[in-house]
Amino acid sequence: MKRYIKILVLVTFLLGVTNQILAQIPENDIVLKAVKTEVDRSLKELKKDSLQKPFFISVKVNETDYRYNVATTFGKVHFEKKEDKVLSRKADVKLCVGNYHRNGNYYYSGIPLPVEDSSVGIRTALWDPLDKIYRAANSAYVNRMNELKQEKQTEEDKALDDFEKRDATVLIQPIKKEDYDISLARKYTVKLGEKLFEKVKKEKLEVENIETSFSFAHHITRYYDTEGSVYKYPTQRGSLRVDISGVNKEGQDINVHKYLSVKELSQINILPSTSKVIDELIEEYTIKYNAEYGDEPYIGPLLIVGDGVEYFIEQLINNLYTKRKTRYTNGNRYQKLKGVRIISNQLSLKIDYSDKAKNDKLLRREFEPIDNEAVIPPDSIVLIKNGKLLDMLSTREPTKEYKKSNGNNVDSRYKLNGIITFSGNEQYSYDELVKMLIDEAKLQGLEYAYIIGKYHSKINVETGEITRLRGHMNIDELIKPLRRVIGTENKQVRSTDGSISYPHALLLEDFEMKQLKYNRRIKKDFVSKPKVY
Amino acid sequence: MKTTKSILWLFLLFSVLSVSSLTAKRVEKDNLDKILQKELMRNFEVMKNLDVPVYYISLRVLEEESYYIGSSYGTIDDSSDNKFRRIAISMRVGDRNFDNMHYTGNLRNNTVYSLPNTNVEEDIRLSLWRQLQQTYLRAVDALEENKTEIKTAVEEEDKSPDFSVEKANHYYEKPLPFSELHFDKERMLQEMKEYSKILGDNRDIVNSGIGISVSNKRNHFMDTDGAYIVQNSPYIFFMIQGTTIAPDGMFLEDYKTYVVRDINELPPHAEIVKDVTKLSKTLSALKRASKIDVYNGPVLLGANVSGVFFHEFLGHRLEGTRMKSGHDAKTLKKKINELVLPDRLTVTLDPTINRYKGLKLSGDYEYDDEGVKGQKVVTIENGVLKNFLMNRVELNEFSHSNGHGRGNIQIGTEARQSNLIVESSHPVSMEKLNQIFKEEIKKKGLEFGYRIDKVSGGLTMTSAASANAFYLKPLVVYRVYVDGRPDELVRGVNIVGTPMTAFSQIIAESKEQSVFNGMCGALSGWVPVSAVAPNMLIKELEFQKVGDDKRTDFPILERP
Repeated sequence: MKRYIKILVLVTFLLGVTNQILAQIPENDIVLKAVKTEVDRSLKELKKDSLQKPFFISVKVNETDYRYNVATTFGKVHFEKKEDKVLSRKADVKLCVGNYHRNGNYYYSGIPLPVEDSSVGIRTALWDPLDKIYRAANSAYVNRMNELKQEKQTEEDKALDDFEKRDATVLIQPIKKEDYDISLARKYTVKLGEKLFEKVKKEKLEVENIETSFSFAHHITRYYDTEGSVYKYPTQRGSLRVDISGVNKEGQDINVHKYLSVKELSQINILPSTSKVIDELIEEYTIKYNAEYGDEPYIGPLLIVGDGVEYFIEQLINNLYTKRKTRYTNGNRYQKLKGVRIISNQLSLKIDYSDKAKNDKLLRREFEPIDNEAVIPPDSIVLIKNGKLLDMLSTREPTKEYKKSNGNNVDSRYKLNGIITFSGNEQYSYDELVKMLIDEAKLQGLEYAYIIGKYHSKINVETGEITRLRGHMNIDELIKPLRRVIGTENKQVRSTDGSISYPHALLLEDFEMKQLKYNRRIKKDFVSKPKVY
Repeated sequence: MKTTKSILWLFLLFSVLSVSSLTAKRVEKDNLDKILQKELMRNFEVMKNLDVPVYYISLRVLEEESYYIGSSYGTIDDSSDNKFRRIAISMRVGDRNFDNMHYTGNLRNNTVYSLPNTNVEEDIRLSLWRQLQQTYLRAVDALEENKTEIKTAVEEEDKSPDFSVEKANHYYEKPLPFSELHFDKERMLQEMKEYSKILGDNRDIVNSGIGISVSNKRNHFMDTDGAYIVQNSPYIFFMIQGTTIAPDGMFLEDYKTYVVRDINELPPHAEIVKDVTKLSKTLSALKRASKIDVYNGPVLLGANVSGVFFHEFLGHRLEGTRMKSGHDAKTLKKKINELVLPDRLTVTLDPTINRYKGLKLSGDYEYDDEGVKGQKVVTIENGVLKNFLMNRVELNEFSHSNGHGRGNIQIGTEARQSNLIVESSHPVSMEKLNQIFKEEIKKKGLEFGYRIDKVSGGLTMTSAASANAFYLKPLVVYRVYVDGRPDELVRGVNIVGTPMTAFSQIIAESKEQSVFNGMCGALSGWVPVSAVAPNMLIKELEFQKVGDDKRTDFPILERP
């Protein structure tokens, strides 16, 4: 009798949990309810012969329910489409067999789900993939166990879980389906195209294509896992792109472009004026069109400006994700360097995930409030302070040094859900940095010093004469050069979408650079260019 | 009065002049084509005088507006539309006898890119000009490579010119509005759900779906010889498919397609419901059907199957371009005027008809993708090989195209099939055919033979480097007993053999003919084709068991 009571209590408890989760799922959300039903059934019933049972299943559904695109070429609209319905639904599934300590798992991304809100349809679309994923997770489990048998493990290795256990997280945000007013964005895009073409004609620039495009989409993300985590939130993204391309007299491709992003359509109002965008692009195109082709290798001090600095930060971030040691790799080597100075002591790097950051006026991209593993990041993470590595970006795959997730299992490693601030503590004006660059180059006995950014240039260290260069710079090593920084500019700027704040220029003491050969063009066109404008 | 007469004459003369000038102006062209032609000819005038001269350029443009609906288990999975324009440049340098496209079995040198959806002249002309410069550079390189290849390889057997001289045709169809395809999206969404629910309700079926693709294509062709052709090719493809798993894990499938040009040509709703229900029942029956072993003996091919059989294993061997390929076995190349089929059979490829004895066909067109008028070609007459399907790649014996140069815009063109029609001069009734079938089974000392009602497709090797065998994957096969027992649905075989031997074993054909409409995906990409044929009795065919590696485990859980 006592045993029966115990079972009853357990059943009641489980029912209680299930009801609790169900209560969190919005009443009218057929998709989440269907996902939950099928996932719960799979957790309970997926078991074949001696195969391991699943202990964790998560399903994340990415839905696009509104999309608008407009594109112009030579100032004329050639494509425009507005779709206000569920356009696509794709599910990402993770299934783990075994237990939190030792498991085999399989992740599959992009399972198509019906666009119609049908419980049977959604469940059926998940049913067969879940079956296959379950089998694949079991294969992974066997492989993992075999590996462990052959691997020499320390006691610490043995104690480390394969998957971090966490409490359920529930995050439901209201979905506001708006009647989007795209007229402003359309007007801006078309006007930009028209005015750009006018300016190109006026300046008599040799171009072969002028394009502007704007796209805006609204998405809904839903998630459910068998730990009881549920989330649902909307995101929307708008991006504008302008391109000018042509071929210069030496037959070299010249491409210049600009991206502008918005998180709300009303932000079109705060984009730079069309005239400013056009002037910048025309200037860039003209400089690149007339620039000399640089084909000399270079070792020496380097001044990195604007987008170039952003690129370095992205690469640095990419190196700071934790990665577990496996039979074949040692994981991320930086994990073992906690507290060690990995870059110049002038530099610091932090990420701000707080509400304040999300509401930052300069931010033109929406952050996702929770990661792919239902973990909400803390308000901030200081990754590097004065060159010392203090923390890393972690997920629910524990490593010896980073056992808990800090909510950074994200789709794009370069697009974090917080504002990244990269800063320097020895700051100078741009002119001072250029002077320091020249001095350092002289010290190293060089004839020229290089500046890379939107335009690449070399400066004659004796005369100060600047020569614009064209060609693609191949930058092999990115973190090591950051160990020897001479100074940073005292002007902090933002990336295109406002999510990275960084010094406008960064002066490195020692850098190796080579030029990529990139010339697919014919030296002279066989037929003269048509006179179309 | 005299003055009046003069004025009248003058008026008449003026009228005649006006009419003729009007007639001259009446050559209709799409604005896009006017822009493209202008730029094409401007470039050609210069390029034809370069050191390595360009002697021919053609442009193909595909404009497509399409809608797709997919449904399964009574739910709409996908409902999307698309619109695009693509252009392909084909450039020939050198001369017609030997050029950069010299055919050795690979398609090469086509340049394909997207065009804006509206006629932005600046973009269209500049991009065409730039692509022509790049294409020329590649064409010159290819010509040099071909010359070197010829010098370093053994002498070619077929020394015919690389490109035939053809009449520059003019043909223009007015744009066909999408509305004329009579696609009622809302109605179709409802009907698709209804059809897919029928399959969804059958628990034997593990996977099923209904899809309809409604596509309005407009094909433009122009070349430097002066050809200008614009033709519409609306294409509606409706597919019903389902799969089941037999108790031993054998994966079984069945499908049904409709290919039409107008939604109104689809069968009535009730008939589609009937077809879906039939397919559902067939899948259930297949799941429970007995598995058969290897077999060698008489086989009766259903008319649909005969069509596929001829398309795959004979039709592809009639495609002229293959005769120039260095690595093709060229089975029929030297068989002109020889008996290659039983003398009762005649095989015709005819793109000029869209119906044959009341059967709807889908391999028809006015002009092929090389601007040549589609022509009826009797390839085999009373069993004797007379002709090949030709595009503009010449053969020793055939110096002109017969309008069978076809291909996907992304890939290029080669000689391909259109509407294949197999006719018998001595057909028999179905009753008689069945009687002969049973007699043949008895002669062989067997208890039963097999009838194949449906196949999923086939595969044949024509390469000289491999066995020229064929492989046919049947979907619906019946065991036919000679002692009067009812026919029994069976599963688990593929048909294998060598084509010429199999064709020589055809011993009888029915009066009744049927059509297979579908897409063929050989060499130059997917093109719509049809195959019309009678039911055929083959004296001896070999069945090969489906391998155990094709087995699928049942999903652990019941379908929701």
